[in-house]
Amino acid sequence: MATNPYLNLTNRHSEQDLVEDVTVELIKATGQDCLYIPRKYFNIDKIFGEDPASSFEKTYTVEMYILSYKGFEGTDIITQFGVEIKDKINLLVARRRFKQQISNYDTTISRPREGDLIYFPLSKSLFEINFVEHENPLYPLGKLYSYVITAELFTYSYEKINTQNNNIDTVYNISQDDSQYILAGGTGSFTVGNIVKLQSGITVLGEGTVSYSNNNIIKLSGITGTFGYTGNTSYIVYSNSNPGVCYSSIQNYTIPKNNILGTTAGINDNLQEEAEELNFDINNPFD
Amino acid sequence: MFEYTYSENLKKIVIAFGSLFNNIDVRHKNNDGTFKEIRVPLAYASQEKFIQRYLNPSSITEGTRIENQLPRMSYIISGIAPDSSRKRGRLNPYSPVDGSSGTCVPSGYQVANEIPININFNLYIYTRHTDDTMQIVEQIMPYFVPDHIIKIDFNEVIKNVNIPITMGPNNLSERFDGDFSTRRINIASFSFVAKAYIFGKLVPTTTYSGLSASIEGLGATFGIIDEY
Repeated sequence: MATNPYLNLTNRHSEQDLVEDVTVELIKATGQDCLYIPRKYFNIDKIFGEDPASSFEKTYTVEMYILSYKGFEGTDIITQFGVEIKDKINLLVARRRFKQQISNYDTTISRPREGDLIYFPLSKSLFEINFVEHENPLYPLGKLYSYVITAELFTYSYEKINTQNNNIDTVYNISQDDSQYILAGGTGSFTVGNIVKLQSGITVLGEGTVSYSNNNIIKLSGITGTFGYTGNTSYIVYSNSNPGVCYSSIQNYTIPKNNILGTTAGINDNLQEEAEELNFDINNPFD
Repeated sequence: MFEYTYSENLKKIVIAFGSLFNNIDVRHKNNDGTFKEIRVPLAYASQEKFIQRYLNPSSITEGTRIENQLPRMSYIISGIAPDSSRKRGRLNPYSPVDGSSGTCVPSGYQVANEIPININFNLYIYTRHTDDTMQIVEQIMPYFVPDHIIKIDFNEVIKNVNIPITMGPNNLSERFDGDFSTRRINIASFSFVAKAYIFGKLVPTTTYSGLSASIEGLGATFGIIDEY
């Protein structure tokens, strides 16, 4: 036996437990409560190695210590694609606490995984894990006690996010552009949050929740049923929670495809308007 | 030495070029087998930095902070050069006619001959997923075999001008190697050349009517010139 069994402490469980306790205690004392959000895979494309339909549906709270205490190691930059926030962060999480808070509830998550998200509440930042270093520090007293997580801000690409945490889900919700309706044959304004119904006689054809309202112009989200008749005055649009407002028809409606959301980064509509006077050769090469 | 003239010829070509790509969609298959359709945002790349910071989410704005939202596309003019191979004589200004009424009616303007120019455009595509890039490329490339002709009304008399746009070399850049400190980045760039024109300003033509001329001695009277 090469090592000295009297002085070498790399096999003493009591010493290892002490270091682990101190690690956990230090992170609890000086860290931050973060939300760990695992990525749920739907159908991994084995050719390109990606899963565009993956989703984020759960959160787990675990405390993490901020290793990059001087700042986010990045700044806002302008590229040909607009503003990008290049924040990065290095976090330390205790192995024992990760197991207690996450692995015990989801046995498929035995460690922090690259691709999963971390919500950092102080700056309301949604980070994506790029790398997890599991051997730093390197086996003090013969055991590993923590993970060092390297993460940078999430590049969102329309993955479904439904964690029931509004601060996180807003990234997804804001990307869902709502349908806009121009109502006619009535007066008054619905209130945001009203559930509006499209009704023929006493038959409810469809309903949705008002997300925007300005006199006879409303935007609806969460539409169920049929909600899109144009110019037909035999229908009524009303809301039980706003009985003073009723319209007899939908003059026009648009169901916008998802443009860039909440921002003006995309100028597709502006280009369309400006280009209306232009006369294009629109031959489809496949026709 | 040069007098002011600006007819927004170039701006119209910029708009026309951009509008070719403002209906590009990407589809992601949902868990239930349906598809989520995403309209790919398009922007002109070189915008004022403070405008970008003012209009778009950045680290200083309220709300949940993410790095970016993809897919995105942008485009920019990368060069403008005269094309001498398409140049016509400069000493023959012409007076366009308007045929919209069924007969050829002088437009009332005289236009100096156009200057043919080649405008180089770069189109950039930035996606998170390689499949998104493939979807976008397949919606663009078939229209350029090798060129796609658009028609532009430059002003009230110069209309339906054919502008062939030719696709040049492309570059699909997938930065996927290296350590784990960065993510994979899919950026594709396409180059195009628009064979366009810059037209000089319109000069109203002068109309003379009721003029006649006769040459004495020959006994002949020439016809009345109604318009010139």
